[in-house]
Amino acid sequence: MSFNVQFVGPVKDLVEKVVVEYYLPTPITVQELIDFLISRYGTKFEQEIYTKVPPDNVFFYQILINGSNIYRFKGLQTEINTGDKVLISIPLAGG
Amino acid sequence: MSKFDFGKVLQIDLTTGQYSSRPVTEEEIYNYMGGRGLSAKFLYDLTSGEEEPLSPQNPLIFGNGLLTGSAAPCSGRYTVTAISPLTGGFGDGNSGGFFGPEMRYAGYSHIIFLGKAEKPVYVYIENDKVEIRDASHLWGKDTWETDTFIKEELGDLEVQVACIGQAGENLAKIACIINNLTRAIGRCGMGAVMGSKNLKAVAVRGHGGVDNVDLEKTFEILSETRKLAETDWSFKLFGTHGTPGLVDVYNSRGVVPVKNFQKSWVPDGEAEKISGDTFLKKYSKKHKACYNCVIHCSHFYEVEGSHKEEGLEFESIGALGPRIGVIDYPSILKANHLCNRYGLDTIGAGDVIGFILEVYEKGLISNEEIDGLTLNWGDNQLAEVLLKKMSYREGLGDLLAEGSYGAAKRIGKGSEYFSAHVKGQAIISCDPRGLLGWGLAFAVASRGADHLRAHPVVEYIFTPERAKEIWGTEKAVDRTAEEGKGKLIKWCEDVRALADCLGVCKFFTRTAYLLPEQLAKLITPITGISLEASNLLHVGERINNLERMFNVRRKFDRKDDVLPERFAKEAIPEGPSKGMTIDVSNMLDDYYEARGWDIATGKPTQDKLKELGLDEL
Repeated sequence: MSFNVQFVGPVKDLVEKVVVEYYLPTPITVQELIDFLISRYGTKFEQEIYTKVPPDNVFFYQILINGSNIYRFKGLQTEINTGDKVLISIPLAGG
Repeated sequence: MSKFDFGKVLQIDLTTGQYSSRPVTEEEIYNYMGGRGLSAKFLYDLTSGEEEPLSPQNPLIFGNGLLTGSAAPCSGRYTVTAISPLTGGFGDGNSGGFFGPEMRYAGYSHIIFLGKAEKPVYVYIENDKVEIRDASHLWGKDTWETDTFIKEELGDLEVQVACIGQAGENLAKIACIINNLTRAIGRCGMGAVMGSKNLKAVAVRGHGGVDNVDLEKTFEILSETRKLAETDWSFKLFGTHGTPGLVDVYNSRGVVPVKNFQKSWVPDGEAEKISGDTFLKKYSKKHKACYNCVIHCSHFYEVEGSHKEEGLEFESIGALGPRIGVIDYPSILKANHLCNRYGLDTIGAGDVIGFILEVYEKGLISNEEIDGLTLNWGDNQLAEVLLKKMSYREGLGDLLAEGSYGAAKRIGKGSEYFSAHVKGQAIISCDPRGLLGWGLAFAVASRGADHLRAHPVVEYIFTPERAKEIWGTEKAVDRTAEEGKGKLIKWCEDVRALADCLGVCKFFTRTAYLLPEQLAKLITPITGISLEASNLLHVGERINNLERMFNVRRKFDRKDDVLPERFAKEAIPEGPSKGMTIDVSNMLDDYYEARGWDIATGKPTQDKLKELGLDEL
């Protein structure tokens, strides 16, 4: 299976690419993808992705699959399927 | 312990040249705080609902927030309020920089301009001294020239100037007011109202200050909130990229309008050309900050061989870039610069250019009506030509100066379909089809399509658990779900109103001061006013209801709380939000219910008004 991951925000600088294409023998969950990225890009990536903000200590990055937040599915246990477009982004808006 | 002084309300009648002042009362502070809220109260009381926006009967109110110019972080904001010539309803704009604090140091919380000067004037205020000065020699000058001339004339480079350019003089309905050369009271056409009064500029100089009632406690709270803010990525990203960093964020969700909302996504290879990274690496020279700002989201940038200035926001990139088919930074930056100098709202200007390009493409306007121009998407030189025309109301520019809604009304032939507006105000560079909460916010905002009335960033940054706790449903933070959006937007509007009343930047009140509990902690040591978070939310709700009643008096109701038909009929054709549409009617019911307004008419009920102490309206 194959899928791609787009990085928006400071994680992009850690990965040094905007979009990365992954080829794997079997489907994985978002949590497994995050674990893999941490093992691949180290503690800086981990610290970045797990940035927390008071008062409710949210997981600060947003993960979208094909444009929809993983909260709509099974959160970090959502399975990534072949052809999916995963977005890992700082959760900003404004203007 | 010193006593907090919010300053005086100065009222200047430009018709007679008479002026008077009085202190702000405690009751006014408790009920409306200051800034936008108190200005709304003044505007309501000074009008009857019948006034024409560009007539002498429309008051123009400069208002400082309760904390403007104080030790509070990012407290450089002031608001200008009047009946909007764009919408015919409640209008205001809010700006940073240094004008508001200087007005405060001169001793004023609010300055109300009434009537109309017989000839062009500017008003110079230095502490208690108020002078109405001839501005005939400044009429026709752009905002930069005006700022410079006034400082030279007064022999004081520390004078802060808020002025209009040619667009305001010629009553372009998308004209803004500029202070500090590049800071704009951008929305609602406040520049046109100023022009209609023959008021070219307001120059202020103050030698006073703002005392903190409890200095030690103030520093303690400031230190605490700064630490909170530093944990938030928006704080960090805005401190490096500023809002241009949002190009990637919005585009990755497929909500950046392209060619007047025909599409909403810039393909990845192209998007890089207008990304925040590209701006930072190629054009930005250094960071810039407004008064007492700890974020410094602004930049000083330079385009080699063209110009240099401060600023550039995501909204200007979007409006003067992809919205008109332009993916080229030098062109966008030049257009942004010209908007600053002519005194044009970049959002309104980009919107009307995109509109005219599309109606021309659709054959709704003839070659004879476009001054011999070639109107093509992505023409890097076109904006420069059209911005000048609309600022001077020359030829086609007279049509464009009306904004897309006004232009569509003149053109007819179904061109209204292509105007991306709510209540006559242009929608920002963010497609509501892909962000339902934002879409509802645009539909109900008191000043027409607007993101800053609600600024619902919590739709992204709150967890579903947190959403359920506050609004009763996890779906409230799902951008694709309608459920819970009514309560979400009501809460956001009430909280954001507080930022506007306090004169504190929304970029700070989206982080450490996001919650009213934290805001309450900040207000007390500076002002001595003891307030609970619930009191603050009550004030926010009162202000939103007051503005609603202002619009109700001017015949607005549920029928006006709609998004353009296009967004319900045409799905986003490609990109991450492909297939999405928006129809706000269901969310509107929820919103009215959350507000305690009549669902059929969208009008506040008597019970709600009574609860808020507004039953005399």
